[in-house]
Amino acid sequence: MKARFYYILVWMIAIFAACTPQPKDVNKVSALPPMYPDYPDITIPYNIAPLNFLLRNDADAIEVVAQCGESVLQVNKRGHEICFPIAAWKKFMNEAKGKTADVKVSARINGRWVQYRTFEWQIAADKIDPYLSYRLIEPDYEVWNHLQLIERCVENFEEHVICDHNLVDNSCMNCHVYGNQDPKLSLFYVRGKNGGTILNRNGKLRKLDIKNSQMISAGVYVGFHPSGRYGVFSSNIIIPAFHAVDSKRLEVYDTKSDIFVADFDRNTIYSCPQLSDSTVLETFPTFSPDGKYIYFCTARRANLPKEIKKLKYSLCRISFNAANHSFGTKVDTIYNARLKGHSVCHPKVSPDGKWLVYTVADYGTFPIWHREADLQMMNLKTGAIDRLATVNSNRSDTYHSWSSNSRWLVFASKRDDGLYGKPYFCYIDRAGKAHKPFVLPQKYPAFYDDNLKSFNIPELSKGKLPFNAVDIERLMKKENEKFK
Amino acid sequence: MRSRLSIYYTYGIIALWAIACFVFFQGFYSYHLFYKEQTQLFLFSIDYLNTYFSKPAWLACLGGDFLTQFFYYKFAGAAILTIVLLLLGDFTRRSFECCMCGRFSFVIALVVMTVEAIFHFRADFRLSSAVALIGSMGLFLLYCMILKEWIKWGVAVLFVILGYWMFGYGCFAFVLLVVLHDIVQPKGWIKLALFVLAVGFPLSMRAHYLLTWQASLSYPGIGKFQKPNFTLEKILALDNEYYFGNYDKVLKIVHQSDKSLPEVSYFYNLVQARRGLLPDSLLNISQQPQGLFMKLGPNASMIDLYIGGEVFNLCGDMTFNEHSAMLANVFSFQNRNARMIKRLAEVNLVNNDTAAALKYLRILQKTFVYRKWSAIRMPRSQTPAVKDMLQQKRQYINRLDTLRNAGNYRLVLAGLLRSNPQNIAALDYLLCDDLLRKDISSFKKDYDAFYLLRSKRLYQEALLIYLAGMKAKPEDCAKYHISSGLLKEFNEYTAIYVQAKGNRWALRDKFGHTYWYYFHFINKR
Repeated sequence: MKARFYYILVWMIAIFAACTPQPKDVNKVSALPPMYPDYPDITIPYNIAPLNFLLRNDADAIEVVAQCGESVLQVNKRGHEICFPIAAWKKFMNEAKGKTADVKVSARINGRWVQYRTFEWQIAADKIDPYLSYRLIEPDYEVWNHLQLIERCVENFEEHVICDHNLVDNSCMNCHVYGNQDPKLSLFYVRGKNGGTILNRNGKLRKLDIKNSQMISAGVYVGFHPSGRYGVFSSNIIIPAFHAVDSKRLEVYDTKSDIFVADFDRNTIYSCPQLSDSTVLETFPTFSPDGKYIYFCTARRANLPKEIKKLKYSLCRISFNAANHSFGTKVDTIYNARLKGHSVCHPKVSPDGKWLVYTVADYGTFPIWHREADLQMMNLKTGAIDRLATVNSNRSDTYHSWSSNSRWLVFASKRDDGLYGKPYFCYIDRAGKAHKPFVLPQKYPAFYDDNLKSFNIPELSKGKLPFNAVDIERLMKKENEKFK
Repeated sequence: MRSRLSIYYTYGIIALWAIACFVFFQGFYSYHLFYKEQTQLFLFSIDYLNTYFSKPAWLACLGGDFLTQFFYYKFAGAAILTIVLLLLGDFTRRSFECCMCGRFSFVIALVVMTVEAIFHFRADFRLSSAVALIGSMGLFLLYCMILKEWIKWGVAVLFVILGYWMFGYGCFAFVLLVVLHDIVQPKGWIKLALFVLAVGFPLSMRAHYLLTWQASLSYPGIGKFQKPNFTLEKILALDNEYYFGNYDKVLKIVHQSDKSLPEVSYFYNLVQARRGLLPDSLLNISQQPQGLFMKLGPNASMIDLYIGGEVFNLCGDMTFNEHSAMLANVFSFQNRNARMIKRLAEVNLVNNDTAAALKYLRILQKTFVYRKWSAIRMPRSQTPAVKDMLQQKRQYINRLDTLRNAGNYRLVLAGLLRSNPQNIAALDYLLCDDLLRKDISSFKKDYDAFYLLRSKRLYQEALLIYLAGMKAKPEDCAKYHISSGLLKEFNEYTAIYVQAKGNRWALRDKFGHTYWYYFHFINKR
């Protein structure tokens, strides 16, 4: 009986193997494979999920051979899509950790096999933080319906919903951010009738009403103090408007904005004149990793929307003393918009304190639709600026977040179609050199083709969040904690 | 003999019911069915199909949406709906026959079919609901084939769970039938346990499927009773005929419709503007005092979002055309709308944004219905007709960047006219919108800024109001080429107006179609 079973099994394997197309009479070409996503010659972390891809041609069979020394990962598939078996992928990545793999792609097109130019995958030994959170929203941003905040494990394809529209009465929800890339310290907003600021601190959830009489609005952009006790917020009066020409589409600008610090222990709000000057717009605050400075963007108020092109934000910082929640009196200008001619958004310092990455655009405070919007990286020791030419594209490359080891960046890029933002990862090596980025891999290679949502505010974290969407549903029924 | 007669009667009633159902949905409600198809997008892609597993009733939803895509074709919507409802009736009859309700099974089946048909009066009711019931009754018929009792109860438990997974709320129908089927059997606690399972299992899966408790018990949606909405049917008819370029038919429907509806005048204006006749016909039907545009935004109705972009499509503003398509898409079923995806593809083709256009064309290539539409618009495979159409639209796009908020349509149209002063549709929309809002000073400003020398009586009538208000001299009238005849008529109107102390009835017969009359008496604020 047993023998017969094995006999049948061997035959089945043989038949299956015979059915899997193998390259023969291969014609070598010098071009790279027309693959999507753009995965040739990239640097990837060893713990990344399989880089499944498809070929944008009429291929009806594919062979992929990735080789690194003795280690080989080979997949043969019918059709024009390749999905790597996750166990084999993990094994290969662990063996190739810190090395370079050569990847050979062959495809059968109209019955003839073509072998494309071999490309490389540099497999970095520096791990990327395994979890990524983002909001899924249509790229119009002005309106919403069926929003979700998602947490995805980048080591595989698992995702879970942090906050779901069904469970919060289809309210708007804003982006989820972490403190110190720690899953036990994070925050996001749920707007609407029972809305509030949802704070996850040490795994405990609270719903806060962070607003006092001096503030012009509830919190918008936010950053955590490394202690987790304070959060620095901007409060903004935000106006959306539409460009008349095709490429920029939506512009969003502030008519007023200030910055304040909220103390989550005492439910108290602090501010200072330098951060709430009514003649100046202050926004995008973030703490330095040591908690001693608040970095923020600031611009003189302009006659908007007429003078939108004159609205250029400089990057500044002010000291902050967490012991007595006091602010410094001097504001340092790190990037002077007037001298450089660009506007700065979304500054964030690497956890090791060495690098400051921010977005520059020609003007304004909403670079998502600005094709020219690019990331730049400043060496905080020397002040030298790297324009990150290998990282940026000719479409908007904006909002980023760091991995806890300061070696990886995730940022939102519209490079594929100019419309839908996707999370791209970029390696920053020990010398501060940025490597070619790659998009978050998906289980189904055609996922991004079919998807009609942008990945908004991608943020990396060291672990899985200790709550889920049902916990948020329950929390929404509670009263908000007031701040003074 | 009697039994054969009763079979004939049965078949006769079913046939009559089917004919009535088909005739109603084809003859009187076909635009609703088309709308159902347009506001979804079914893709033949593993990635898309996989999304059905994120909620219960995956098989019912998959089956319902799969069938709905064919509603695009003439007669197919009514035919598919009738067949599905007949199937539902047949499964109901068979199921109730198994429950020893043989005498009433036919009547029950008729009631279920009719109720389900009534639920389809709603534009947002999905076919998946009927499929869910059919599926759960199918499970019940399988269950009835099991003879051994101890296996039966095990299977019943399994089928409740499977039923919820595949057919959502259909699992309740299954439990109800099981209870009816075994009503004479003594083990009441088993039936109670099945009920508890049928309620408890969906609730326990609520966190997994991310549904409220109400939604988890009723997924994919139980219908609501309502009367047929023939007003909406008219609006959808206007939209549909306009979309397919049947402009004469649009005008015919307008004349048969309640003209006080903003959507009716909206389509009337679109057709007239397309023909360059908007100023000639503006006052021929009832117009909205707020102007010529639909108010778009998160508070607008789905139907207004669905049709609101047509005016930007006509005038050539691709930013608002794209924005309104995006809005309608966002508020459609599963945030996908076939027509709006087509519109988004076209907008980006007009804008020469190939990468963005390809995004939507690739999606459409994965559909059964729009594959060919997409293929002839692919950048390297465009037919001459497509190229001509794109070229024609490109003439009118905005080339000067300004920043406008979502409600500032004057700025939109002014921008279009600055880019291309020959854009007659934009010009007429701008001027007529000013006039409907009785904003004579803006009209005068726009007229002076953009008007090409077209002799349109409506504009001259409005100019006379402005000039009279400014106490202009006769040479000013000459500057605007206002004929002496029109001036005479205006003087006559003014004289009667004064004489009758503003009594509209004294002016209606002779001047009822003039702008002066509209200005004084219609849409008073």
